Amino acid sequence: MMEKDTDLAIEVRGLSHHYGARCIYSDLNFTVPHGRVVALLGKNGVGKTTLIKILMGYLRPTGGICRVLGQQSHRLRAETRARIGLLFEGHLAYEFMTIEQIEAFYAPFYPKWRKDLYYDLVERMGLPKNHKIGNMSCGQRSQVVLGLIFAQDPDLMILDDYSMGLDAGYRHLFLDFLDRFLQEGNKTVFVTSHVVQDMEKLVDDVIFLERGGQVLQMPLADFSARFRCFSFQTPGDKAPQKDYIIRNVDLLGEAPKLFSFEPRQTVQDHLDAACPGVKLTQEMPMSLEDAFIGLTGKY
Amino acid sequence: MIKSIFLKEWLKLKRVWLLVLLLNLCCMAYLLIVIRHQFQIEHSEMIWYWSFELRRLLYDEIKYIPLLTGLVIAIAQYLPEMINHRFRLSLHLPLQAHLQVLIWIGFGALMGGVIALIDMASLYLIIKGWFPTEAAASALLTAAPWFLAGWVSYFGATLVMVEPHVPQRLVYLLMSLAFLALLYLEKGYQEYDHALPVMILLALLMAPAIILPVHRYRHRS
Amino acid sequence: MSAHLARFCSLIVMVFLLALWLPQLHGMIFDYRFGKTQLLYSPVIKKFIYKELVGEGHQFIYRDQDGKDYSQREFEMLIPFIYYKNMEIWGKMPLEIDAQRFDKAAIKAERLVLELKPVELKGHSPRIQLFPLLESNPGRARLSFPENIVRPGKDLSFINSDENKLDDELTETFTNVLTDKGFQFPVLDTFGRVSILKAFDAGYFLIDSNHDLFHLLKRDGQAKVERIALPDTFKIRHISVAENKSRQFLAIVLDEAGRLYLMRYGSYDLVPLALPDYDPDSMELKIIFNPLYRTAIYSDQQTVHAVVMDRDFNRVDSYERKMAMANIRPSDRVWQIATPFSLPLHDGNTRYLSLMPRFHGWLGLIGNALCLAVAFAILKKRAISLREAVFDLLLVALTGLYGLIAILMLPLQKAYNPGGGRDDLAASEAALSS
Repeated sequence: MMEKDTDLAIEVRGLSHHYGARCIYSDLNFTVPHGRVVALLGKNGVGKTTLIKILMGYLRPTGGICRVLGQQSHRLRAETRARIGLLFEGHLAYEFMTIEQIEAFYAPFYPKWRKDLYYDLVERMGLPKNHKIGNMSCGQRSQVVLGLIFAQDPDLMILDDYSMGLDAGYRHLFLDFLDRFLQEGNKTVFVTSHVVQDMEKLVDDVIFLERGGQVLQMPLADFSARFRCFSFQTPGDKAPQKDYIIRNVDLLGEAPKLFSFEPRQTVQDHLDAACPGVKLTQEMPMSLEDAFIGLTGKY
Repeated sequence: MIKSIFLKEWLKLKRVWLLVLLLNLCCMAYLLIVIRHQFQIEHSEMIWYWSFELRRLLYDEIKYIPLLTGLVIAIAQYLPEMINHRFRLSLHLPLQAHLQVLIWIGFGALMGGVIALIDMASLYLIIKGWFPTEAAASALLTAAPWFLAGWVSYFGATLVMVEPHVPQRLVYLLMSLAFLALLYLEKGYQEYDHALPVMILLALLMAPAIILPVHRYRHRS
Repeated sequence: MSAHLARFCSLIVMVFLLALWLPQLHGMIFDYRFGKTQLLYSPVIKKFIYKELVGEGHQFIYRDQDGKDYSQREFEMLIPFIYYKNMEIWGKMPLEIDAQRFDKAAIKAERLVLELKPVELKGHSPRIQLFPLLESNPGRARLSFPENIVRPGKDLSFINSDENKLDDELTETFTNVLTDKGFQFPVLDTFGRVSILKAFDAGYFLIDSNHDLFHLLKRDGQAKVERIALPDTFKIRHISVAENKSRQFLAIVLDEAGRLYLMRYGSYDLVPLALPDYDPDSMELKIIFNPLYRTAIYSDQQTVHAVVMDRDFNRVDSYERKMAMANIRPSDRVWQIATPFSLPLHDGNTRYLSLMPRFHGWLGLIGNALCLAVAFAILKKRAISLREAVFDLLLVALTGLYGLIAILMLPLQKAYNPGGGRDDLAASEAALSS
């Protein structure tokens, strides 16, 4: 068994996967150190789900290494699995169980089980303990699932699209509880979501996954500080092209925009050389979502 | 942990199990009525002659009940796991997946076995009500392959449901059907007496066979 | 490793089921109505003659032991005692053979067929040991079943069928009569013919714990028991009772050594029959009586034997012939080569389903070798090492086509090799993952 004593919670090196002839990635690399909250962002179809499946241990990669808490993800030992909390897309839970039964079911599996954390979360919903999970709303179910993960007291949480099916209220509730739980410290979270905006409060680092397995990983603060959007004017119909300085060009909005990690002057100098006549007009304010779209493009 | 697993299986199964038990009891009650009716409209010595000499089976109404019971128990246990791939929840538990699934299978086979035992006891008592003990014992041996079919259908349905790949699913389906067809070839009483031990062994081999589809489900390979 | 073991569990079940169902399927496709050769003795030409289907369609041959062919009508005229009704239509009655004349009544009076089939023997069929003891002097034309049944065991119990209860009185009476006649309980064996569609009722033959033979009848409601003297070392295996109008012979008796006897009606005398190569466990036996001869005809699935005897059971002639149905046809040969064995389920000699393999001999090894070669080729194409596939190959080597089909249906998964090699993933995977 390939195993490494490491201070990395997640280690992905040279990972490749294909379905038949369709290659999802051939050389994927990133790491997540312990104690970080990391969001995996990427557009549909770049292989986020595949990566999550590999990380959770439900898909054996075609090649390369994917270690979670030091062990190959598809060969995790039982004790290691006990240290990992998984949230499945759609807040998967045993719907035939009641609030009380599901807690009683999970408790004996986990040595560090914290029943109080579960009931602290679940009792706020004001439902009787014999309420069946199958009869709950998606939001209520998300509370139960989160409560179970907290009670498990895992070192690493992999949360796959926690926001799916939740309204704004439950989304915020979910994040608030998660945030409070993380304040206890030393927890690693690997999260994906379609609601990029929510990440702002939660995450330390972002990983942008692009088609073909290109990865851009950086602290969220860096990303927010460095990634910029400029509107520009162009004399003819000639538009600047994507390159190592200009990360993206958006001609679809009211005014044409381009995106870059570089300061204004560097970008203008670059434009003067590469695309003479194009003038940056003003730097546009961006939300995280805008920045995400700016980086990855709309299509 | 083990208790927890049993608890979960019981929660999935309890309603269906009670329902299936009721169905089985109804079938046995029906058998009782049928046999009583026979003895009311025919002379007892003629019915005994048909049964012992002509080898007519008066109790083959219950033939397919164990098969159906096994199938329903398997669906009750594994459908909730397979919907939305909820099986992943169980696979993440800090317990060997094999062990866990073998416990599930053991539990299901046991719960089916309890119903089969109740059926067998009922069959024995019903036949004994109108026939000498020899005939009641013979009825149990004759019905044994039908009861075995309950396990075969249960194990078979489990294999088919857990297996993630469609072609292999078909293979397991074919295998189960071929096995089931083997258990209904009787033309008279006790014809499986010699073959039954081997058939029981083979049926039991289908229980550990479940580990392969579980392994494939886990690794999708 | 446990996944490998699990796969092997499935493979074993599959091989077993294939070895069971594929031969059935082969039979369904290729079986033909050949049937057994009809071998008889002609009292007219003093030769054995036979009727046999030799090819598909209606290719019957009617032939004598010297190879001379006859038409169907000629054939039937050679065995006039059997076809006496046709003889009558053809105006050949009364018959004249060996300067003796036989009219219809004489033929009918002597006609008798006694039969013994392997399936009747103990251990060849399950039998609930409960027997109705009919009133042998019913005082009317038809026999009828009594409202009780006999359980021969530590005593001779009677169970009333209306009440499903022991009849203590009858039990005691009959048990006492048997005991008085020297019967040592428990009853070891009971032989009789359970039917009301017979000329008369001869009750049952019982074997006591000393292996002594007793004959039990119910006559006018009373037990009538006869002790039948047997030679000291004589042990009875089976008695096939035949209650015929002619009342010449009451039963065929088979002893533990496989020798056959006819039991005379009334005297219980045993007439030994010398039947070479007769095997009661695999051969069906018929003894055909006519006014001149007694012919014993016995056959398994391969050979039919006949021994003709005079009226005093002295051997006159005998003949044996390998039947056309035993000829191996091309489809059988191919099957024998393709598969090393089959599980035939029914062997024709018992009511029990059997799982005993029937081996196809050395020819099957050719098929095994071919299947092994195919298995090798497939493994090579999939780049699976021999070490990984050793059990698969062993299975194919031992079970041939069955094993090959099984390993194709449940293919071996290649060992995981991170960083190199590729996994074969079903196309359905893509759908599951996106």
